[in-house]
Amino acid sequence: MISFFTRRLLHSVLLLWGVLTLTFGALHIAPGDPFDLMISPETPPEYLEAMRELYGLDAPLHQQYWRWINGVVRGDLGLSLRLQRPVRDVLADALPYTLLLSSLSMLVHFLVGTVLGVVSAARRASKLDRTATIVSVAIYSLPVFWFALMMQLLFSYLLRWFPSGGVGDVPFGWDNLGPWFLSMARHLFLPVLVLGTAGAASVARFMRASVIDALHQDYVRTAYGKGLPERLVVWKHVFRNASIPLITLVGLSFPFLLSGSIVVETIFSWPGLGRVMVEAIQARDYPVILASTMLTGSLVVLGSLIADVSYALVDPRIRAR
Amino acid sequence: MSDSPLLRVSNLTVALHLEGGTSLPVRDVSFDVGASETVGLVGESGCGKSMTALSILRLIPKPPAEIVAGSVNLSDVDLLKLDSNGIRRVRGNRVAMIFQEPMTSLNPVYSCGEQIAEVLRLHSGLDRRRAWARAVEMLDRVQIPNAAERAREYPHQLSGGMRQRVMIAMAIACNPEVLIADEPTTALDVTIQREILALLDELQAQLGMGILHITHDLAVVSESAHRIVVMYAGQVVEEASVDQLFSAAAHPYSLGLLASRPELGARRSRLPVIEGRVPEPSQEVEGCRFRERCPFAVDRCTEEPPLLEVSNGHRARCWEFERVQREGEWPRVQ
Repeated sequence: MISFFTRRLLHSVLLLWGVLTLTFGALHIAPGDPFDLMISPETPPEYLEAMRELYGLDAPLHQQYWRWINGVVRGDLGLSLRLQRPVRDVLADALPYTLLLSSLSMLVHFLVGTVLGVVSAARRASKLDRTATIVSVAIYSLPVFWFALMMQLLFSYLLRWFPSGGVGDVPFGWDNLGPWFLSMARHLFLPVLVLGTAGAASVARFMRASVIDALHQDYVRTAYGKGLPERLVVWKHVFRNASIPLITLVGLSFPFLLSGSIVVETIFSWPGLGRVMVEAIQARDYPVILASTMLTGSLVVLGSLIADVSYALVDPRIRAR
Repeated sequence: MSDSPLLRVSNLTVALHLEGGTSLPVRDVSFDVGASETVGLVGESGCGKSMTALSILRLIPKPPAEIVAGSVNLSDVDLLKLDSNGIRRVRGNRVAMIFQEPMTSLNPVYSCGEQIAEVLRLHSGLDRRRAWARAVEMLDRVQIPNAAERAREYPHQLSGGMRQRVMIAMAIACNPEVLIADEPTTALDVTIQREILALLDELQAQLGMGILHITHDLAVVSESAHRIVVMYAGQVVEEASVDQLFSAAAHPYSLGLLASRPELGARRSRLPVIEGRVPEPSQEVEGCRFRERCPFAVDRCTEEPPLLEVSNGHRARCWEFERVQREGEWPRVQ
């Protein structure tokens, strides 16, 4: 188990390094640099040269790369060209918002998805199953950005139930926890709804298939033969077995949630990582793009690492190996 | 047949509703199982014996299968008339079942001890600790060495024979009155088969339970069963004590089954074969359902024979049973 874990960790580090190197390369292959967007035709070329020198962009690529990797290893992510703040601070401000949004979405995603999937499978071909199938296939096929815009149109523009974006202006404090929570909840509702249901639909489809498969196994007959009520057969004996393949989906949903949050954060002006990334890309803010890629990359790798470890927890057959 | 059998299956008929239409894989099947008695239910694959066994506890998949007629009496209660809570209290408690595939019949993600303890918590109302202790006791009782350690192990860590012992421990945990064993040794090595059969005999002697042993293998039940019920194409074709069947089989199909057993030391180059195939459950055969494969068939066989009394406790579904008994041998195929 320990050696399995260290091996996986080593793989993860290598993978991350590969992702960073590719991103670095891709950024520099694209023509132009950050200052092209900041200048006007009147800017003297000498000034531009001076700026490039100041930020080290005049050095050969391998030197830039080496300098940057060196910094990363020491925990120095550099300075944002656009915001003139340490990249670390920029990311530290945005990360909690993204984590809040994605973890809540993930909760909706899997809670709604599994319950719907299991119930549909247990009551196959019932009215509930058919409705759930139609709705989830429909939601699954919608592009996230369109779904987000429609929800925004419906709930904040037409019905005016929820704010169209932002995080609200109630500051966090122990004495106004209630109002802060309420404001957060109101602002989180739409983004979580969009991100959560989009994922829940695919989880429900997946879970349904997995449960139907497990329902046909011999141990299910044994469980009924023992006199267990259907509820226990399904939620104890079938569910645990059916959820083994679901763990892969949890691991795979990390990238989906993060990339989905880029769209959702942009539409709902949510000050998270996704928005930081989009803005950095627009401004060609190299250090921020690289660092946020590294961060999301780490989260994705962490997700699959967690999935691998959870396998062993749920399935004793893997634990033994 | 004893006067007050523990389990009495009467006129059980099961329908199978498939897209192609409805068929009857179990037709008007009746038999009894008494206390401390082992009844062997014998027949080839597809003859309806497993369907019969599953129907007793109403474990057949519904749909497509449906019990359309008959009754299953356990003492005075008709299991087919119980509501879903009622039948649940019988399953695993008063009537328990073990299956052919010990590999897949245990849940891979729960320890063996937990799977046994679960039945005890359910039916005997034991708390977690006492149920676990009793589960270990049960494993000990089915002669699993180091029961306390084995209880914590998972099915994949045990051999096929051990898993079947775990299944048996689970089945007898609540002291059932009847144990239904559906091909309990088919998937096991021959030596392990013998051990499992001996264990079942021993447990029966201790607990006094009736055993319904379903098998396609006459040899398996010849030693442990008291009575044998032979099924063919959904029907009971012969019912007899083991001695009666082996010395004077009265139905041609039983005779064929007996003849097709390999015998140690016999210098036969080829075993006799029952030619042809079992009719599909959906296929309606006029008269006797074995007629087309039967070397004893006569004109009268186009009329369906009832179960005829051969002698005391011996019945056969054949018009020609006297001739079958007289000739006593399956004709050799040239």
